[in-house]
Amino acid sequence: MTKTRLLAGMAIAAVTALPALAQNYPSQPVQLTAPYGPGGASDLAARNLSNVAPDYVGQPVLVTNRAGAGGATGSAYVKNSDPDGYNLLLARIGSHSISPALKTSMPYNWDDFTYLSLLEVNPAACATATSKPYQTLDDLKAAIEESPGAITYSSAGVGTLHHLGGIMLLDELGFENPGTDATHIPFQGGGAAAAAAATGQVDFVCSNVSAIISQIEGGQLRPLLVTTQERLDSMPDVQTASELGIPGMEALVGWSGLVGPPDMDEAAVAAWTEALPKIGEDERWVNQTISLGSIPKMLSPEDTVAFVENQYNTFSGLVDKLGLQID
Amino acid sequence: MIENLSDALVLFLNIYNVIALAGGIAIGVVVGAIPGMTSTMAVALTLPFTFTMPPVTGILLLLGVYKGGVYGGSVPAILVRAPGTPAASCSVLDGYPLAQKGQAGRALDMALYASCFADLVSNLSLILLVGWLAALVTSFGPPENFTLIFFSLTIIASVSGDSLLRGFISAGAGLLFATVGLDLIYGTDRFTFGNSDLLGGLAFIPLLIGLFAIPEILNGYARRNETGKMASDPAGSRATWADFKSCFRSIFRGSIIGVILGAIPGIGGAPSAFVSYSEAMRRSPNRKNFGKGELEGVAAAEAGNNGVAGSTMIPLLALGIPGDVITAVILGAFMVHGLRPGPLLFEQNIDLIYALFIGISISSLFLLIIGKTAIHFFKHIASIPPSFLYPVVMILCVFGAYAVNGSYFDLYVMVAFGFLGFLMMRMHVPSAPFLIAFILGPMLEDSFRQSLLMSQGSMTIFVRSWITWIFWALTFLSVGLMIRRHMAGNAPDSALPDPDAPKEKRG
Repeated sequence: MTKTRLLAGMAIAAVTALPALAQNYPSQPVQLTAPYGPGGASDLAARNLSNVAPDYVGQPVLVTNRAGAGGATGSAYVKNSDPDGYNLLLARIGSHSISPALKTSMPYNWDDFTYLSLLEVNPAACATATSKPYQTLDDLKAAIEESPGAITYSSAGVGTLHHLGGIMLLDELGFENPGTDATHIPFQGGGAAAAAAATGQVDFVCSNVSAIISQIEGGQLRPLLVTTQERLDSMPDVQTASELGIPGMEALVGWSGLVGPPDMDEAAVAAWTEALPKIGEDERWVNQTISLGSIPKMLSPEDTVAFVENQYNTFSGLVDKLGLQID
Repeated sequence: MIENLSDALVLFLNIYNVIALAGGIAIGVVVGAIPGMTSTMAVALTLPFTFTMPPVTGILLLLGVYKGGVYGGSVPAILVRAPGTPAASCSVLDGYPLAQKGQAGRALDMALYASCFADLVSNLSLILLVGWLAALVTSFGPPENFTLIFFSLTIIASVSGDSLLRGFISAGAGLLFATVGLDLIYGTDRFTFGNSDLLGGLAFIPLLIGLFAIPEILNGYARRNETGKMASDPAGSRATWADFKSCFRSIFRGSIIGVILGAIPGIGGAPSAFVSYSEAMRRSPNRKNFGKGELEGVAAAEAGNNGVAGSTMIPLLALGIPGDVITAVILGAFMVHGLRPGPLLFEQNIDLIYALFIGISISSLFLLIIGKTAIHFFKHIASIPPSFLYPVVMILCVFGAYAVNGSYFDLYVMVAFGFLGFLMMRMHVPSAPFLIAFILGPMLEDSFRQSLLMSQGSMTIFVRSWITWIFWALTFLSVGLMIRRHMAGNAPDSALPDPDAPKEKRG
């Protein structure tokens, strides 16, 4: 092929590529950013989706980890990328409802994104080491009342479900200073937070169930409550937050969702909103999600926005009430 | 027990398991040998392929990639001063000088033997001591971690070279740069200057490549007109049995250090390599030759970082706690198959555990065979003239630095630290203390502040257990010896007899 013909071909391709891109979405692989490191729940959720999604959207979905700053680095990257539908984000409770509620200096707001669907929810539980004397939630409450500040809880870092879970629990139990009556001790990641609780380095932890279920079943952690509306099949003896008279804790539910940059291309949104419900019925995806400790839950874009907004409002209400903002 | 073992054998004896393990190690060695491609990335990229495999096959594949990657990192560290993985950065210190002396093959051989031996010790510890080491792990909290890291920081003195002051300057800079990013305890931004790329802190791999590999390339360019830098026949040298025997004490000690540090969640291969290296140096009669091409230094570093490769599975299998990113990925592989690592796994799936153990225990042998084959090809890299080699290394460095997070910002980090590294090299400021401080600094700070939160500000928490006392004692011992040696070294003609003194003329 001569140079001129090559150039002419490229020019034609360039002219025709633009409309084709919108009509035939997706015409190239889609990049899915997981805003946390490999091996974590968000990474696994992303990889699980990328395994099944190509059958329904017709192009490979490539997972990239862009970890850092509690999910903010990866989320900011997708927010600022082209809204052509080839850059999607696996949004999480930490990156999209807790951090925006807690931090004033976030590079994005929770509603800056184009929400495509909720994917799954992860029920949470609060637990204490079996080596600790707290048999029930009341025991823990009494211990906190006795010496405010001496009781500790671990978290996966500031602005994580663990962190807000501890504060919410104290608030729901009626403590005056939920931010200081128990001491928050952040660790690097959910695994370290679970380890600190299981080995008794801290007094309790509120975590997504999937991260602490092996320690619970292994007899190192004693669950005190679950945040689901009904009791969990995996631990039928553990009372729900409502049964314990603190229904506010039900807002503490981890989730993963699929989002795109603001004002995402309509054809791309349509392609995904059509494909996602089908993925939600694919047995491979459903089984994998369950074995990873989550509950599959696909929602329409509108319902997803409502779900996240509700959670964000609950959290930012709590943060405002207690003056917990971080600059 | 016998019944379980025979069940396990049935589970393991399957050609796919053997292929997965060997294939995984081969993938790991190659990926680990590419600067900037870490074993973590290799394991994460392999994970989706294991979704459809039986659990034992999939997990053995991941473990193979991990073990191969830890060893593979030493290859570019020795040959081109570009550590393939963070854990291999310590192998640069003596490996690269050896390669410059024309002993690349010998250094690569020793790295492999030390790696395989340490891997074997680590695997056996995993299998035989899992219960005991798991109990040790549970007594490690933030105060214990703090004293351990505090002790590890004394290594800076041994890798500072001739001038302790320059070493401290280097370490101080490392500590300072490590503070960039989000503060763990309060979640506030530190030194980010409103730049969201800096929120996550300075990425480790680009910084590592910048600090070690780029200065060497720049230096090669600056000295391009000098001739005869590379010694003749660089590919021909080999490590002998005598070499192995003379390094054996350090290899064994490094393996044990690796096993213990590997079992503690959140410590990892890099600190272990440096502790092992510093211990080897402290006890060696050839102390002064460390950092200038001492074979024992390579052996100690590689034994230290491979010693963690088996024991890092202990907290995962026994307690369900992933100690680092790689075991977190492997935990994911367990979960994908509906298995939950932890005490229950030993009760319910003991045949699976034993099958994994059988696979793990033969992995060291596979690593030896595959590594030996790889060296056969890799060592010729040392014969490539720098004018061809360096551009290729440069491309790999750029690619690697970008690939870690897919971020252009990381390329700026690499370039900036490349120039800093070059400047440090020209001013004879050692870069190893910078790196150690950069790795250990955040661990030290986090564990210190976590401890004080736990104790509501009381310092007595740092002497709360026998473990903390041991590390305090080791710290004082180490500092005391250092001061004594320093004073002895400054007195005229009072230095210890140094059998290797004539060799030191190499600049």
